[in-house]
Amino acid sequence: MKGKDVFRGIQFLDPKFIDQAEFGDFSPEAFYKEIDRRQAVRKPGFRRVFLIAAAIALTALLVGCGIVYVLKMQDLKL
Amino acid sequence: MEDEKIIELFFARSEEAISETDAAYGRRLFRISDNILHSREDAEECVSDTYLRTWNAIPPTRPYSLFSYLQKICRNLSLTRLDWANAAKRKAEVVSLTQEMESCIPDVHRDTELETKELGRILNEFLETLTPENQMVFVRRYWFIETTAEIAARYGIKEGTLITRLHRIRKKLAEFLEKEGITV
Repeated sequence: MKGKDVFRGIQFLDPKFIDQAEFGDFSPEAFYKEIDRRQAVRKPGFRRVFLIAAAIALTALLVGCGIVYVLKMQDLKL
Repeated sequence: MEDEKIIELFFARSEEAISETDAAYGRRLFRISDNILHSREDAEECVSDTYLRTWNAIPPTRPYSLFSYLQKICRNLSLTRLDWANAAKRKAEVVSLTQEMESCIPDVHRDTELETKELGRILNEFLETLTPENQMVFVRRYWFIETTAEIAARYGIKEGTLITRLHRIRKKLAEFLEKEGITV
């Protein structure tokens, strides 16, 4: 079978699909909804998880450094 | 004029049926034929032949949808008239579309016996699995043989997104055809 056969096979399309494509319409939002749905169900990838973990670690480090600095300023011993 | 009235004119063997059909669908028929043939003269002849075939077929045939009935005749006449070798040289849209379709078939050398009618049934089943938006863009691309730019402009969507979507639909079609037994 060749692409030409598939192309000819399309001639047996249900008339409802042809009428719908010719006389029907849709909003761009409806078209893009499928992409939104796909993005919503997408599992967080390794890169995303790694970035979140790195951000948390950096925040913790900064807070820790801040505490040590403040305590030092107050001349207190840990 | 409504389709029902035009069909009644065909049944009454009134020549007005042709002029009314031309007024209602002439431009659309010319467009699909021109999309395939890229020749104004050939497309005009195909449209005229479509009217003749319709005149000979109605009655006794009473089409469910006059528009799709006319479109089917016109599309088939245009594809029959198309010189595939020359079309390939001219890099016509229809040739690139058949190549896209070929990429959906796991093995182009086997299953040569599968009738196009059976294939039509499978394609209908496949389209039922798609969203209405995807059905429309698929039909406009592979039935009406429109460019992605034309389809994107028609629906007000981004061409890049449409190309990606059509690629995904073809991938799904390839999987569907494989499930239906068109496999390597």
